[in-house]
Amino acid sequence: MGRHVVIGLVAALLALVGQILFALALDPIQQGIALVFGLTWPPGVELSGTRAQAIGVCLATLVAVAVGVGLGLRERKSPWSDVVATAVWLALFATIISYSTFLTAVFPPEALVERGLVRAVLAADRYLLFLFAVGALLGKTARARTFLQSAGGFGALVVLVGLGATAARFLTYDPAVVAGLAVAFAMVAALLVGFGVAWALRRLAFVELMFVAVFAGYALYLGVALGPSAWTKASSLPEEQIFLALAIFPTVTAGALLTVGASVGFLLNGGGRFDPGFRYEIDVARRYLEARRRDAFVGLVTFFAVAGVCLGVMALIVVLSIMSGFENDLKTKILGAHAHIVVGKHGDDFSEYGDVEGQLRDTRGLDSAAAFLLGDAMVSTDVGLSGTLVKGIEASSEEGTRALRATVTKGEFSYLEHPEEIPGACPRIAFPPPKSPTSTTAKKPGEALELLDPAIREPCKDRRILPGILIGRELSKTLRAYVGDTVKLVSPASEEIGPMGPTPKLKRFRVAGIFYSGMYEYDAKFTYIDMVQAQRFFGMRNRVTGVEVKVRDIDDTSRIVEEIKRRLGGHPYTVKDWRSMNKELFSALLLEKIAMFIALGMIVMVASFLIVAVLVMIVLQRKKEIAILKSLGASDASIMKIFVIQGLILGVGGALLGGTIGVIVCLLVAKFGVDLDPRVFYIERLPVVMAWGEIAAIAVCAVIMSYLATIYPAVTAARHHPVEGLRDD
Amino acid sequence: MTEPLVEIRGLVKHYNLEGRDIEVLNGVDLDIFEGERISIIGRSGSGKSTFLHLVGTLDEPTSGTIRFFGKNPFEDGPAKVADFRNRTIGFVFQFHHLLPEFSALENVMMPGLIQRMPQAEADRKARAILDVVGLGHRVGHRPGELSGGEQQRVAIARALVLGPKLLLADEPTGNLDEASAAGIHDLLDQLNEQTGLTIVLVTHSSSLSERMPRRLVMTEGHLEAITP
Repeated sequence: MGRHVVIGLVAALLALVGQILFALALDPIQQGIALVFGLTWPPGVELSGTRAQAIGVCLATLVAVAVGVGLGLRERKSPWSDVVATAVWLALFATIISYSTFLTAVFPPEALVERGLVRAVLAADRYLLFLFAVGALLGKTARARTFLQSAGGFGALVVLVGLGATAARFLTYDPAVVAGLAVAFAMVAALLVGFGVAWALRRLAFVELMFVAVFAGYALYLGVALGPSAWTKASSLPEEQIFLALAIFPTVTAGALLTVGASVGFLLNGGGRFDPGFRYEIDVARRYLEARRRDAFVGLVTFFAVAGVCLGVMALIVVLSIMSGFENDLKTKILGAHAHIVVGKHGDDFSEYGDVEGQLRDTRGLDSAAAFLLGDAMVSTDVGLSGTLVKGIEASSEEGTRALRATVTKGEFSYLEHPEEIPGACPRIAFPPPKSPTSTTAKKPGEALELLDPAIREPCKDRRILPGILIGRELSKTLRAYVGDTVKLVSPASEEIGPMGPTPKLKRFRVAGIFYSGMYEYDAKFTYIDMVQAQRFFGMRNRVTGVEVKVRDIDDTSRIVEEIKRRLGGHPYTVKDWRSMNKELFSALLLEKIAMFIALGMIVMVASFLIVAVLVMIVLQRKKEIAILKSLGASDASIMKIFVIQGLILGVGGALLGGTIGVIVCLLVAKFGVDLDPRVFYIERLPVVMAWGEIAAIAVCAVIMSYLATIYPAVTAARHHPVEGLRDD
Repeated sequence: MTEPLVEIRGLVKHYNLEGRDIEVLNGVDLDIFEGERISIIGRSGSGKSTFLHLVGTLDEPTSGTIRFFGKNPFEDGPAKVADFRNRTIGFVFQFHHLLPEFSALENVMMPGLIQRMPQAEADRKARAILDVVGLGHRVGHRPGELSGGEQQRVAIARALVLGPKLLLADEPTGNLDEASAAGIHDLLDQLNEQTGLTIVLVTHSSSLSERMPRRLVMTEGHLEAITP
């Protein structure tokens, strides 16, 4: 026991000292990074508690794994209990050190909090036990030389990713594309490294590759934690979530891809010569699966495995398609009612909007550019009252208001320009005169009145022509205001000073039309009036809030944003696209989708474990046959192929079945529809959008998971000693 | 003097059984020349099967060397050994050890398919050798549909389909009645005469061992020649 205590204590202290030194050396390290990567100093790292905690976790992980590996390498034959005992001691010491007060005696607490060090240290102990045990377990079977070779592979991986990102940077300026390409490069690189290692060594080198995965994953983590704050701020996710994700996903993904790559490398070259064939292996795998029908229990587990993969894939496709449907619906509604790009200006003197519109107009891919004015007001009738966002628009601009025109369900958009035509504004419209050339004289409302029956004419006489306003359907319900009714707009911001100070400005409008955008928030909050009215109402004279831009192709937005920025020459103008204006909403949707993917992916994962179970049972049953095949000259790789193929038949079968059922369900829902209560969901039918890329990704993930599930049983089968199988008789 | 097909020197094999070290072979020396027919007799547990497994490269010796034409197949690493086994050695076991889900023809084709031989060629070779062992008319039957003697003939056909240099037979007639056993031995003799196949046969039966020109006995992990 004494030895374990010492190792545990030393390791815990190492982690702690490492963290303290690191926290103290953070500034020089950051300066170094800035120097190497040519970043402007300071690179803008704000050492938040979260960030410090992340750094602490990284260091604790690396120390724990390294100590674990060292122990494992040294005590190859030590039983498990030794490793566990040391791990327990290590965790205990780490906890004691973390919570002990001696730290506060050495460093004043404020300084620690400032540095985020306390949180960093506190974070460490939670991870140490697990990671240390993993390190020790892996270290027990690792070969130092292979590890170095794999680490070389890791270096190659880094270089490849770097080259990929650099190339991507030259090809496009869209940071999302660059990041996506870098991730794709990293994934391909991990596959290649795994493949290369197994190909060259003719063994799976699983343990060493796991180390590479841990180091690669945590190097990335540390890199982001040390990098400029802009990296994490580019995403709308909170820092905690980003670092949590970084602690898990890169390592797991790298591990999975390295394993896939390595197993493929071994399958192709593990037999001592390049052997891409698998014909007889398919035959043997198929016969084994067919034969199992005689074994009721294995058959049952097989059924559950296939059914599980099928169910998981189906659920993923259906749920994600419906979520995409909602997202798409939301996007259409947002983009329909609002600008794709908004050009604003610092300060409130945006009066040269005509010039700006002119400058933008011939931008390639631009559909329309129109100024707008936005202001807060209260809107009321005799029965209702509500806050509203009043938007002044250039009603005469045909293309700038096209989308809004389409949403007007009652009344007419053109009434904004011609308020005299609003029904109720003047009975001329309520009782339109015959449209003959002789009636042209009746164009003026005053004259029209004369033509009417006095019983109708009289109550109309005092009705002045009021400017028009468009209100949403929900607001119409709240105010009980319909086309032709008058509403009062009250603006709290007023230039008029009364005896009691500034008096709110009040103006009457007539409802020109009611729009239905499909977004509850818009239909309940927005009102539209003509720009001239808005400028007058808000006392903005000839000023506007900004210029709204609509583009023809929504995916082209980022290019057009760059173009507009270039044309306007930056400050004092600001250019924002719809993505950044609705960042929170769309990232919340994305996060929800990811969470759903993981939750439902668990079903596939459980099914994969069933595949492991089925294959392990078959391997045990077929020990003799494995030995026979080996005695006939089948290589280990060849035996592995047989069981990988069996697992893939189950996994691919389940994924195909689930994919087909999922797509059929989606098509049926899309065709026949599931009615929703529009009062609750603000949408009439369940929306379904099948993103084929997503469906393909689901299928590929399911197949990769079932492939990974085959590796353990297949390797067990391949390692079976033929003599043992033959001796079992 | 010609180079032996197999040259065995100081062959030792230990097993670790639940922490106990068990010595099975204790320094075996033997030269096997091409075209020889050798029988090995000995009591159960004397190490006959282990010896056969070692010669057949199914297992690695604890110490000592086995050289085929002067070359140790294990030198090229375990990956190449399987290929060597596929091309050089044929096995026949006491229990036929056929793959139950495959027909006689498919069982015999298997070594060829493992070697990635084209299907048609493997099929042709398998049919030819099944004709030689007298089972040309039962190629489509599965092992369960064949008699014990027929199963063992299929196993012999499978061992010989790729024309190996060495046939290792571990009590191939141990489970057969006398008539079938005699038939199998006649077949082995005939193959040896026609093709010059080298045969090492392990058996319990001294009467069968007497049919072989070179007879050895395994006692307590040692191999000794029986002088006629």
